[in-house]
Amino acid sequence: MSETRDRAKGPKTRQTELPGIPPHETEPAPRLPPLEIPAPGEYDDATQKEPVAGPPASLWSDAWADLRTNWIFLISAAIILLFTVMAIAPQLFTSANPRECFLSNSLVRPSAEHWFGFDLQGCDYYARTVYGARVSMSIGVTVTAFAALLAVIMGSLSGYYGGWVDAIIARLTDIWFAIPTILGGIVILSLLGTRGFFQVAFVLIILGWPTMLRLYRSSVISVKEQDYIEAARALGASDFRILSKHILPNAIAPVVIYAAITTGVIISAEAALSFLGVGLQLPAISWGLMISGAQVRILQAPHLLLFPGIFLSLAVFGFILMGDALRDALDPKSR
Amino acid sequence: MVADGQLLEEQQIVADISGVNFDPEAPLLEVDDLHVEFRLREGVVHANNGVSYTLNKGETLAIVGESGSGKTVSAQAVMGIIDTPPGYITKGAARFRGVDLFTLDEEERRAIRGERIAMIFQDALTALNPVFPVGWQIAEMFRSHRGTSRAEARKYAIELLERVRIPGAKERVDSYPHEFSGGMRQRAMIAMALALGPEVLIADEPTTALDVTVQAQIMELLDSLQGETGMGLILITHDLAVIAEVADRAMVMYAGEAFESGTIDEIFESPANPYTLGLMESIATPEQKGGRLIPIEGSPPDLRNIPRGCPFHPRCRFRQEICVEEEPALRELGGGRASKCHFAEEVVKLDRS
Repeated sequence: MSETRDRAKGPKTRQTELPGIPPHETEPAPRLPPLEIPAPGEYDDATQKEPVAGPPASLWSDAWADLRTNWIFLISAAIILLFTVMAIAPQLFTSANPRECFLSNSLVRPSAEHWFGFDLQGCDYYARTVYGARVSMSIGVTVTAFAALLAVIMGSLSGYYGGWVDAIIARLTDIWFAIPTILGGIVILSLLGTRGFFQVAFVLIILGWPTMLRLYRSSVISVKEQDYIEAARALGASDFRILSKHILPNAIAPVVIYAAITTGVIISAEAALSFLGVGLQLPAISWGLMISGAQVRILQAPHLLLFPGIFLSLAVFGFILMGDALRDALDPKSR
Repeated sequence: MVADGQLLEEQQIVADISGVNFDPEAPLLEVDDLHVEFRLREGVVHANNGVSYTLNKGETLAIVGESGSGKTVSAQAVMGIIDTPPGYITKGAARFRGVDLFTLDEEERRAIRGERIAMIFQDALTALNPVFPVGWQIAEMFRSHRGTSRAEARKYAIELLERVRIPGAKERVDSYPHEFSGGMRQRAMIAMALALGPEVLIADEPTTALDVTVQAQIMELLDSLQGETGMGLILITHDLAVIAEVADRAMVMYAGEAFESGTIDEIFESPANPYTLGLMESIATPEQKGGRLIPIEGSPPDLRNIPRGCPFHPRCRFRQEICVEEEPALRELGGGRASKCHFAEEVVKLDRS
């Protein structure tokens, strides 16, 4: 090294002082005791015995450690779990058959035996409310899953490749954005003859994906600029591998957060469409349909509106709360 | 361990790229009159304007220059990782073992990247994927290029971490990049680049983000790994002191062109270009203690609007009339030296003591 410095020594011919300013007197440095210089290799950074701290921490395991102690997450997880179990196995919650109705029980008020009373047809309202969870939960999860899948695929193409692919997809989402979800839902669904689970889910998917796509696209664009993407390319990774292994895990967090909230929004959108009479149709059991049926007798039998309304609100609340908790865990900077 | 080492070498046998006939006799890498431009809204940036160099097996070539001199762009062009648009290679060739890389299709180029030409980057923290363990990322090289099984690839990853002298490789293989120190990250990055046994390694400012003692270790590591593998090494740096010990030859770049090239000793001993001289003078030395550093005055030219004549003339202290009028050619000075200066001979003879 010293040889290098000698060779690189600058010329002494250049003036190093400004005219009119006396040269700077350098005081002789105080003598220090000689340093004990370690042998080469001893001071090697890699040989320092840095403790290998505990189990390695990834973003997701960090987030999980965070979530486990977050009461917002625990409450929302409990609510979602409750409704999930209700959707899968409603028999656990009620022994009554929601389709076994006796007109003699029509509009009977809640009692100790029948907590939620009976509806117009004389069906056990508690059983119907519990069975209603299935439609809401499955619509919410199916729509969100498909919309997220579409968003990730299209967002990857659009964000990663840019150019005309991006232009086409961006214009497409622009058009979609101009359609209000409920209005679009009414128009499309009223064109369809039958309106079952799949029709409603389909409409909500095609109306729901553009926001998620935008979100994932912008996330991809910011991740794409990272050095490790260039490094992966420089080491021969294919586009598919870069998108699936390098971009997806780093870009998916906002979509995960948004998906939790979307699930809640979709559940209420399904209820709204059913309420408006363009969603599911009887004899399907759905909270939206129940609320719709209750509105005409709101003074006569307010319990018909109250109970499905509470269940619906609670389920939506659970998902939105979950989105909040996930955001806190996945974006540590927001805390 | 010995058996494992052999296994790793078997993995490193270069995969066949069908349809591409490499000439084993041809120079490892030959860049010829490379022109790269970036067409931006604000104008066309001429990042490389006729860069040429040759890299032979086992040789270390340093590409030196200030920020914005086009050194990184020339490497990216060779790697084929320039984004088009806005970047375009408008002229020139980059021949790897006699095959012009620019004539290959994307699939063939990808097969060369990582396998035969690998690259490491300035900041290894940002060049490693933060969500995966370091070992996983190294193992991924084998799994994606060779289809090696997960368990086996992990074994190679540990072996490579040992090879770049990361102690406790077995324990650290599952650590994440942020759990590594700066020097260790760069080592891990080097391990990843070397995984498939490339013949050319391009190191783009490999030590700039590291502190001085670690810099020396990384350079030493690169040097000894080169000795072990016989690969050609291109070191891109703005720091002349870094390359003095390890490079064989150097090319000094300015405004997207080679200003001087020659052996590292010649360049240090007697620079043949005022720009090289300026770079040399701006190195801090113990002898100058208390004095001022001597910078090259002015700033690098705007590559959208390169000065007429010699691109360096506005900053050159030896400037003459001819420098403003006429652009000097990169002239051979004999003995493999070349300098792009009207007064190269005079600069060489300059008394620098």
